[in-house]
Amino acid sequence: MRPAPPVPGGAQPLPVGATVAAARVAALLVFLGAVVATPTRSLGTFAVHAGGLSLLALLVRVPAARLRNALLLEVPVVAFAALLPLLGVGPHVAVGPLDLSVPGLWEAWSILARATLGLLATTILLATMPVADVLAGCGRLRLPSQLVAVAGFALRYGVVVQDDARRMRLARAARGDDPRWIWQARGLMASTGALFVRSFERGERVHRAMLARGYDGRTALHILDPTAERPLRPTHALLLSVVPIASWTATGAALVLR
Amino acid sequence: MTAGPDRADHPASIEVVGLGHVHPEGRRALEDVSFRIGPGERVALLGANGSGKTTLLLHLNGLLRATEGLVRIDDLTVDDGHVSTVRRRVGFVFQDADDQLFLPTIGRDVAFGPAKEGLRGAALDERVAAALDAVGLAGFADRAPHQLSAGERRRAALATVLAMRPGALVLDEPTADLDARGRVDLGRALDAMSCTLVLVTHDLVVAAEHGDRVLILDEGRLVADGPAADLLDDVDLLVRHGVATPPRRRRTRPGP
Repeated sequence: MRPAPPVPGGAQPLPVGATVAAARVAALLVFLGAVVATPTRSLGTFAVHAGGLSLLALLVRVPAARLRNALLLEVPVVAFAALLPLLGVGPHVAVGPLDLSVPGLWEAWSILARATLGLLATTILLATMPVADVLAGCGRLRLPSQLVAVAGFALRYGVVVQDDARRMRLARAARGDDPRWIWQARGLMASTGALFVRSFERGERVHRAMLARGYDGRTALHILDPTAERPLRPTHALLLSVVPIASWTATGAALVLR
Repeated sequence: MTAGPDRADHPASIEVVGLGHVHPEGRRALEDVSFRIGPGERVALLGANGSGKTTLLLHLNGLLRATEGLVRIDDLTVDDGHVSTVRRRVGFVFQDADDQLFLPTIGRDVAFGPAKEGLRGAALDERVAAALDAVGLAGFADRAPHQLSAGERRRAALATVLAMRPGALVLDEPTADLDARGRVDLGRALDAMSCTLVLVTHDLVVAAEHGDRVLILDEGRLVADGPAADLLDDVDLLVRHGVATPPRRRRTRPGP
């Protein structure tokens, strides 16, 4: 048996079964609800959310490198948020040589804080169980089956497309293509187009293979979950509820005192 | 590795009568193809690239419907009315295992077909375990497909179909890109099966190992149909239809 390849930033999490997964996904959704409902200028409430997540990360021993890598996904959001203080209207404040919009600054803060907390919370969840279990949990919670299926396909075929892209890069490099500047990226652009076409064709083949096994577009994939699974212990349920309850308490107080 | 879970159902017969197919772009892929495969027969389908092999296979599972002639599985004609039954009776293993394994774990992928048939709970788990065991992948249920080698993925793809207990198994180039070990493992899994077997291959060794009978397609026509032992020895026939390369004398280098 071939050992499973290591997961970057930590060991492969063990399967937990759909019930535990559903409880964890539900806890995540409740926490995210609290983050979304938090008034933008309630910095203390955001601090409570961040503190809860930090404790959770320490408790389940998520490597800092994994959290840091996850935050790289936020780069486009940061780029967008950085524009808001420059383009915003309303009162302005001078920060060094820049004249920044105050409402724009709060909007940027709102986007960044919520995106960062959401990303970190999702990363902590993914560090505690395999992605397949996360999807099983979503299915058990009766989230829309088409959305869960699409997320599953994206995860499954992301790896395949990545592998295709790697092979194409090697093929370009083997023929001397080593772009360093944007105007040298013609080969890269061409192979990106080819990758899109290949992925589209693969999509058609996958659909055909699904049809061959009786797919009719109505399959709720959670029925495929194995029955052998861990029960949700009371201590586990209590632990899962601590951070969402603390977050909603802080958010509720902020909403009342606003 | 135990006997395959396909043993529960009876092997299916396949009958193709005057089958023709024209691709949407106008190219004719099959013309007046007729043959009958009895229950439990093992048939290798040979032919050069573009000879219509895969198109023929797609008709056997109902992924393509006959516009000329007909295809019958047991006593069922492959048409809109019977296609779901036909797809349960005829399992299709695609050439690229990554096309077939579309779910995040092997276990869930193997469960997909039987779950569509209504199996749930412990019975579904047992079916999955039996199919994985039959292809030598017991204990792989929680693995993601990308964590498996090419040979293991190919066997996992076979398990996804075996779990549906098909009466006939149709395989499109099952050994393409496999190393020797992968071919041996897959061969063992195929040997353990009692269902009707139709496999497309370019590999004459694989055809000889798994086929008791050989069909040869050339430009969409069935040009030969007979016992593997006879046809695979007929080098002229194989060369004429692009299935084998002509024997070549070793090239000698000119002396200094």
